[in-house]
Amino acid sequence: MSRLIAARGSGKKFGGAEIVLALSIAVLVVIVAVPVLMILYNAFTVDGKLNIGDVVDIIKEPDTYMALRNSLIIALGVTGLGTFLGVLFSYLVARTDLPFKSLMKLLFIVPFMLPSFIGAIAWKVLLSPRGGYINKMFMDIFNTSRPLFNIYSVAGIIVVETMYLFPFVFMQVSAALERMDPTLEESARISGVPLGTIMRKITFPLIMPSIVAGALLIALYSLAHFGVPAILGTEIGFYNIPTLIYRKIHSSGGSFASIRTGTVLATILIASAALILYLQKLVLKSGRYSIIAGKSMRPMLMKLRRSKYPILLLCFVYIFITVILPTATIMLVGALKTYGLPFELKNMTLRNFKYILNWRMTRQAVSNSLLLSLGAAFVTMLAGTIISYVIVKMKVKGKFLLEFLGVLPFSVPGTVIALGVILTWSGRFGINLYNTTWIIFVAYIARYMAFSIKSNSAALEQVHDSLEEAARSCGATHWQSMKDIVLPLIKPGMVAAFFLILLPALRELTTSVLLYGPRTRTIGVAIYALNEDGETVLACALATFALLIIVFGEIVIRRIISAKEGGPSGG
Amino acid sequence: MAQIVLKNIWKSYGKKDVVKDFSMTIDDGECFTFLGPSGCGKTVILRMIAGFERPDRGEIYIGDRLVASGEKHYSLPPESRDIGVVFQDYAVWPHKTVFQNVAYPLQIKRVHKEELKQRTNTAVAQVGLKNYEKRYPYQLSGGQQQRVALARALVPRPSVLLLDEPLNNLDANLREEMRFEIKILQREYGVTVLYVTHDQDVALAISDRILVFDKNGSIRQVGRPEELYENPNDSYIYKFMGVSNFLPADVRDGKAYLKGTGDLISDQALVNNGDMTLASRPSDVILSRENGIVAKVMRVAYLGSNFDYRLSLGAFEVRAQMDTHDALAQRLIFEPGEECRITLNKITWFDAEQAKEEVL
Repeated sequence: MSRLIAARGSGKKFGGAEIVLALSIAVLVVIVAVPVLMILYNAFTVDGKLNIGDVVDIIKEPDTYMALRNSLIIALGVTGLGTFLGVLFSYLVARTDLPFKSLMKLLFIVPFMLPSFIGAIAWKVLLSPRGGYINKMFMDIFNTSRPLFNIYSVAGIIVVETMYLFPFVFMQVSAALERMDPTLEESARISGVPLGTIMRKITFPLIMPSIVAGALLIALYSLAHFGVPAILGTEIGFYNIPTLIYRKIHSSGGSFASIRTGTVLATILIASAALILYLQKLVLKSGRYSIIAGKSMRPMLMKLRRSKYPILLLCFVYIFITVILPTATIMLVGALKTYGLPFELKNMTLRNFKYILNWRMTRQAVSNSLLLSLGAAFVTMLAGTIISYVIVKMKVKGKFLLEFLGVLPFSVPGTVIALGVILTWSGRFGINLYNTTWIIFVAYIARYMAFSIKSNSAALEQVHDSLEEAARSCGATHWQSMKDIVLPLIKPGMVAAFFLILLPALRELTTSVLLYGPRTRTIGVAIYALNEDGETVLACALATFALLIIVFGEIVIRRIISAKEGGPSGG
Repeated sequence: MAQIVLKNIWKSYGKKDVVKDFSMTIDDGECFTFLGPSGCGKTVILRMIAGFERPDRGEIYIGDRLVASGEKHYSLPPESRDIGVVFQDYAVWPHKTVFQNVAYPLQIKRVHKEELKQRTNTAVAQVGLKNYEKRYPYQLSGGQQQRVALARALVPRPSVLLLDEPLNNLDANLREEMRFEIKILQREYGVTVLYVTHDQDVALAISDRILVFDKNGSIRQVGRPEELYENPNDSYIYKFMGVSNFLPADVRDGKAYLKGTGDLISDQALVNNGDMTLASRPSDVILSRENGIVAKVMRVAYLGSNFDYRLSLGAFEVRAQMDTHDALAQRLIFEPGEECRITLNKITWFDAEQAKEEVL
């Protein structure tokens, strides 16, 4: 397909612009489009012939049907609960006189940075029906055999996922509340409308598009989420779409029937993701009120009066439960001599951490993850810069294809990418990367290309065409104007893209878990596998290292971004 | 230094022809202005001369050198055209200081370090930004940024300077100041200037010659500023050159009457009998209490140096301006609703049909 486009380009004019365009399209087609097309092709054909009846049969199979149902139930539950919490906390932070607001705002976003599967392990440790520390304590105190809460349940999965996905709504709605012109509310207030009515009739309708957009993002992620259901659901035979795909592919060793089931399920994921993104676009378009575009002004604050401190306490308790408790649990369990011992100093040791540092498997996993994420971040950043440049700056026909391919991965969940990559790079087209690090590398590039294009395009949009034209008229060649003017100006966007890829790639599980071979485990896979094998203590010790790397990375990126906001005065 | 020759230029975007068979020669060392409403294609022509766009058909020469040919699919890249460009949005590079911005063209040309420093400093001083060398663009006002852009365009001593609405984003005072400076710099450097604008005040002030486009991109008139002002080809040019009054008239044997009335506007109408359109500037409308045809005062605005009147003449509106001193000395200050009489001092005559389409 890519050759075709390049050949067509050479027919008439074949300038530098056309070569760059053809190359960028070729990269995106090979890395992004072919895997997705392979999934669709394999889902709907048998022996090269269209076969819809088979697809229906697969969906009717009890475990596929159940997985679909479960995915839907979890997605609905997480979206509902997450939206409620997101709206509640964003309103408290943006529009009330709650103390320590800027700190609270930061803390509410922290769950976003933590890998949810590590959180799920922590909650398993705390609330598994028999061995969970909290449940054990509860049963000892009240002398009962009934646990306080069984985390191995639909409710458990929904609650844990919600903790890590609610920031989607929180961030969207806080931003809308901050940007909203307060004079809209004030003019209603002056006319004598009571505060409750103002909220219901003015504030709420104005932030509605942001709420819906955030809720749809939660739904999108939850539907295709692997980590939490894999850790909390598999135990009780509860599967959603991604975990079922994983089970099918793993248990059968990649047989045709299992791959086919996988592709059908993946197709459903793609379709629902596309639908969600389409809905989100509609909502955001309808929500483009100019009244929200105004400068940020001081909004009217609701006085909480006597409930101020109880609400503050509630917020702290929430943050304690969702951030501090799981993180501390992971670190403490990582230091236990044996899993199940009470948290006492005499049961603690640093032996596990030492072991992790010396064990070949974990060392390999850490170095794999570091190399893969650094490599993928670097390559994807550069490729994204070139592709964005073509999209934003060049006047060539056919670049709409690039735009489409560039944002396609947004709607393709990690499980789907992994499956597509298996279908594409297992020798079918003459290249077999299966069981090598390269197959994960290719999958990461496909998965994170959209991040890079988004970040780079945003940076390039800021560089007005006339800046480059001015350089050309000053005697600079195209290349010199790129080097002297464009690159220095978009450098912050490129750096941001690099970290936006590096950090999620470091803790990636969903894609790698379907692609790893004996020597190509990543940190995420290693933690997951250790936990599966019952090595909870070692899993937690490794997770502790992962958390340290992630926190360090987040601090670095925050530094860079805040330096960028400080303006170009650095020089 | 160089003349610019445009021969039968065509340019279209999609199905729309933006430039249609445009030919013009801009003389060496001349300050030439393209004046026209937005969308008339004037900026596109400038961008084709600069090399940012290619003509579909036709040829462009700078000096003796062919820089673009639509038929030959040839376009010399902008960096090889020996031009300077100043943009409407300044296009000053935000990551470079004033000095670095202005020095960049010399740096590209690999000018020797000492010379680069000396020439850059001279250019910075010429645009009045001495002591601002180390500042970044965000520390400068709009006017100062535009000066940086001007210095940067002139420092390599190009043979052609192209200015694309450079004063649009500046306030009125700065605009007036800058247009003097552009003129002075042009004389100093002896550079051929093409200035693109929709603002006739700037065009009249700085140009040696002006070319006026209409909104379809056709050339309406080319000439010196005073030619255009005093002897406009048609009512469109007249209107473009400043605030104007147009009235339909009925001419009979040298006498012009306001159409449909018996009011005599002029008894020296040396034009054909029949329907004509007359034009006059507000400053040529003389107000009095005794002489002329009767008009009613609708609105009065006191603008300091003069009074600005809007008068109704039957169904027509006429604007009149009267010097404040004269008005006070002759006690000729009218209130809204009052009646007054007017005579027209200088009248320009136009064909009624053409004027009807474009200005009435």
